Amino acid sequence: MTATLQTPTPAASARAGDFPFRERVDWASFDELAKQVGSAGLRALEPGTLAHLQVKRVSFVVAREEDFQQLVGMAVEAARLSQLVRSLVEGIDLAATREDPQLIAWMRDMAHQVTATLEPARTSLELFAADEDPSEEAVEGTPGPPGYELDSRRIRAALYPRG
Amino acid sequence: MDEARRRRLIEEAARLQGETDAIVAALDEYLAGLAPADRQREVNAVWLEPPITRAEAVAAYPPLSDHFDVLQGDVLRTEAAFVLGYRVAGAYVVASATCDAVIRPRPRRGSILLLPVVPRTIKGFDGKTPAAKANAAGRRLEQLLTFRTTGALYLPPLIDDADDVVFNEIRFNHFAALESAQIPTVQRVHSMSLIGWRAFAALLRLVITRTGDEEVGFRLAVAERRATG
Repeated sequence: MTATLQTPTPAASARAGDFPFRERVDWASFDELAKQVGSAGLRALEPGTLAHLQVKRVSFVVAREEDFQQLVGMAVEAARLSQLVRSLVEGIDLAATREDPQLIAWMRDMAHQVTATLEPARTSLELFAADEDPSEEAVEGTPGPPGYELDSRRIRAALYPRG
Repeated sequence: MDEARRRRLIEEAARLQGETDAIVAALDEYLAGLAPADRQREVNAVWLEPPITRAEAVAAYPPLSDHFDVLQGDVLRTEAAFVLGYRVAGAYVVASATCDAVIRPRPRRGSILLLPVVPRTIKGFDGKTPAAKANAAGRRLEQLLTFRTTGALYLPPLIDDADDVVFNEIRFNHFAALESAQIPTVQRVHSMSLIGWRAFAALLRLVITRTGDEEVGFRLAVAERRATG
């Protein structure tokens, strides 16, 4: 690992809506990655770090999957926002030429949509966890059958023995 | 569970196509007589696999023609999926058919359908005491592992789940959409085994395209009544 170009922000993990990358690492060759960094070094690549790998004349970036997903989410949001803003500008142009209450109401709705789009993404856990399968309520109160394995560590050890 | 029985279940899963009851019956027969923990362990063992890549699929099955990037039943993570206009980050299962998720040389569909995956932990269950929560978790496991609900399908803990996740549920009461253009960006976490995929597809078919006898009856009766004035 060679250079860190940006001062890292506080250790708190990036919130949805924040730009995910705060640190930079450069690898000058694949050999440097393989010899100096190796798989242990890759695992140590902290969330929020973007690594740049130069292989001859081609450059690659390596990042934690969760950071990449956050970046993709922001790009999708930006594309949608850009489309909405274009429509809003068209509406403003039209409104400038005629005083139309319906058009003004439509523009107000559009502006609300833009505001809503700026809100951070929710997670499926927040959205769906509380929204139970109705059949789950149907069995409430009945005694639970004993014998299921409820120790998550033992379940994981059996399923993923290599961690 | 002996390998011969597991092999027979795989062959049965390959043979049974859309017959939901038959697939559930085959699973029930396979798991019959097992103690709860053994049933859970067996389903965990046969349900999910590491993501199946196209290179691996072509090497094993050269006639493969479609250039897939994700498969129906794949468990993935993305922040680019939308639910009722909201961008919702999380884990999902691909519900669209594999051939509809193909994007090369060009996308076959504008978007694909996803179902949310909800992780379950003991502390997340209702109950005033740890024992009551564990009891509720056991009840839910019994329900899911005997395939007694059409609202959800059992999934084992995923390889990158938090340490306290005991199991997951695919929920059939919400749908998410992902633009096909975003398919290359998703994180594939698991593919389903042939057995898991057959069970998932059977339940999906039941939930989305169920055509019950009663509905056949009243549609026919209404049509006859309208025809006779």
